[in-house]
Amino acid sequence: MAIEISNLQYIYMEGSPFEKEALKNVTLTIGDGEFVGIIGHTGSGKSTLIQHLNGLLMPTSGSIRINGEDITQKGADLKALRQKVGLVFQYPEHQLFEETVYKDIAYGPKNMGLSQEEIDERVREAMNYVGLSEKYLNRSPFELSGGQKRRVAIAGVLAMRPDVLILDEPAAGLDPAGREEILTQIRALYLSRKMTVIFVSHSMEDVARVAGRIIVMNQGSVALDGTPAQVFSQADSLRSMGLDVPQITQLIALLRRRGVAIDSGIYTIERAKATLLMLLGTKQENEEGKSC
Amino acid sequence: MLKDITLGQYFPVNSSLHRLDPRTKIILLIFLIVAIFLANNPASYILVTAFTLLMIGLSGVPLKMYLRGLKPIWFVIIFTAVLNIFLTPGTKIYAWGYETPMTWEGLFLAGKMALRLVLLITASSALTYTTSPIALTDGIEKLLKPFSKLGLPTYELAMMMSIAIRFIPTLIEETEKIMKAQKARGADFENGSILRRVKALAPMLVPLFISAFRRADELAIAMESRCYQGGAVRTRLHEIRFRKQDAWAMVIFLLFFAALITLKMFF
Amino acid sequence: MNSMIKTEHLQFAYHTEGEEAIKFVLDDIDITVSPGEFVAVLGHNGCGKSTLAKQFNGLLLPTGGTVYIDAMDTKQEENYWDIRKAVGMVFQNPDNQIVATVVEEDVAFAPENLGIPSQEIKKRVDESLKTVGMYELRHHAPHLLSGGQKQRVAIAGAIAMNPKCIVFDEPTAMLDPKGRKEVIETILKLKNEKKMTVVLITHYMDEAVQADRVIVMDRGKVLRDDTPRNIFQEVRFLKGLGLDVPQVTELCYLLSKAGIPLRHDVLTVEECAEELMKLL
Repeated sequence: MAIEISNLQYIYMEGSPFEKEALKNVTLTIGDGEFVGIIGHTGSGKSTLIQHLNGLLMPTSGSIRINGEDITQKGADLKALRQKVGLVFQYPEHQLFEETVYKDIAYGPKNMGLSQEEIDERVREAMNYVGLSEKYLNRSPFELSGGQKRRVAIAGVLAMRPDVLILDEPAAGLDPAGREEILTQIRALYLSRKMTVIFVSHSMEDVARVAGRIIVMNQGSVALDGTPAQVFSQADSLRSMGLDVPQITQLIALLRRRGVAIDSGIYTIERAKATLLMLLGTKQENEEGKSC
Repeated sequence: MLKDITLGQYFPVNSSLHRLDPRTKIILLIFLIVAIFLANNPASYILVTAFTLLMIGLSGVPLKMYLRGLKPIWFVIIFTAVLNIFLTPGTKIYAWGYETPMTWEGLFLAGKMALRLVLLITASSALTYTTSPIALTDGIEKLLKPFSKLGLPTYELAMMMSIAIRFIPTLIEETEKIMKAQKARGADFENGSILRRVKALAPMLVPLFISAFRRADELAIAMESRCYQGGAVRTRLHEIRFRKQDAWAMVIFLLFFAALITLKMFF
Repeated sequence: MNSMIKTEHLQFAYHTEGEEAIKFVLDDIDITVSPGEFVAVLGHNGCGKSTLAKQFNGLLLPTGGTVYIDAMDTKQEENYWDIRKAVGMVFQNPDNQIVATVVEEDVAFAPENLGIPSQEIKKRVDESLKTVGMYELRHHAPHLLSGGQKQRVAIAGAIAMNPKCIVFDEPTAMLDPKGRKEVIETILKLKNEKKMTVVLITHYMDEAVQADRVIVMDRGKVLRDDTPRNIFQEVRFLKGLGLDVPQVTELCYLLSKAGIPLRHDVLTVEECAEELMKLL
């Protein structure tokens, strides 16, 4: 599912003293099957942007086309749109309401008017995707741990079988192990379902681990857009936008400033290790050569 | 939208109304409401309206804010006005061939009722705009104090009120969030029969209640950590005090009230 | 000198009626926090660290063993208010600990509860708000503030009690990077300028790195109690507990495992660069 956003503008509470231009002139294309990370600090417009993608917010001006269809037109079928573009909100476990895990996950498919067998199949499939065992089917979601609740909520969106999955801070408030688990599952989901995934976060480290492309939002506009390597090579401008640059990126920038010729696009520990080993290796060889 | 509700919102500027003792303002509002209902002829209506406008002027809050406060009740005003215009018997102005013609009496009654409603809301807003919720609850608590001897837990009531006011914006925000999340899962809050719409509320209300209980729980722990122990020994950052300006406000109001009674009697 | 916090064989279990086996959320904990110290408590969700925090101001009382706060036993009823006053608490969700609709009124809540005269409250409120850098916003409504600002108001509300120690229970878990930075800077200021004792419960390693001492907990037990430098060297141990280490620490650890002669107790980007520059 290709998403084309052109000249999107959104004014929050227009005509009131709280009026604020939350999005200005955003133009973006997200291709079918991409894994895009959107980062920006609170108030940068990233949450506002994603709520436009499934019609929860309507732009003040500009248009959004999903698979060629303009969703901002009057009469656009929002219900169909929302099932194609699944949106998982921040702290999604706060939206759980049913007596059992099964019923909660079935809520979306039921709203789509599917048959009982179809619903059943989708619930099980979704639980499988998020790594929840079927023994939880008839448990109350409120008895589960925080991380499990969150997975139930994500399954609730996956059960609608969206073509685009948008996740707003899916790892917020989790401990490192929980964060790791969620990120791994999302990545696996992306690979197996071949869906378009949009991952919103203010953690650069999390985004760097999973996304193939990063869009940086700042003050309602797109500030940077490129591969992780391209984006992370702009360490200084990222920091000036109030973003937390991963330590590895900071290290590489510091080493470069001190005259080390090292690729500015390194942002993971593994790459840093490999590159440094190479640098140190050649250095050692040279020294050995000299000492002979 | 839910955010349009302005009643109970405090507008922080420094005006002569802001500086009055909340007790003075509460008492005067009660009597002003009585005055609004006492008004019965054009002269007295003009006086009451003029007094309310004077309050708006003294409150330092822009007129726009008062108009916004009226927004949620426009429908009620217009609806009652229409009913009055058509259902009051009297001299016909125009009829569409049915049993219920438009009448002059109806028109006056409608105008009177609409004016009363607008004045009521405006006067009440003048209190909440110029009095912080804390001062307001303090004022109510102090006014109710005599009843605590009869066993009314005045302090606890005031605390409950101020916490409720504190959490209104938080819960409104939360409601909007949950509504959006359920809409993203295909919920439909706007269409269908009444029964269907009521049923559609469960996915919104259940999470809202759960979250409210969680918040209450955490808030109780936080309050306990900050040595909350009921009202017995509690002091206040801003003690409310009856001052000279409050006496002046009372005097001015009494003059107004006397004028109103005179108008009522002699015109 | 008295220790600020001292636990002796502290055990704690939530009472569940009718259950045979008692499951201890806290099991035989012996720790000491000295006055003026900054101690971080690390552990994954559910390891008992928040339960431990609530022992420090008598919100929860030990099932077994003893907790002393400034030499006062938390189980003695007459110490109740003195302990509350001695230890301020700041919790995770900034929205759920703000009581009032105006910033300064909220900060005044604790001193009001303690029956302190208005004049003195005013002084304390102003001072506390200046300490956390929120004085200019004292007349604002808390719900319009950012997460970091709200949390600073909550901190001011705790300082206004004039406590000797503040316990922070995951104060940054719900904040964005900017808010986290504001809160951590405020915590460091309390320690360095106000000489307050600080206990910080967290799962962010970059925050724990700044502490004088780190306590690592798992399943209700204390597994390590040492300086950050010594703790974070144990990369594999921490990862095994589901915890992180700073990226640069991990990098140095991996490089030294690959045979590069590197110190592997580096904690900051600067230290790491320094070490690498020696070799490059």
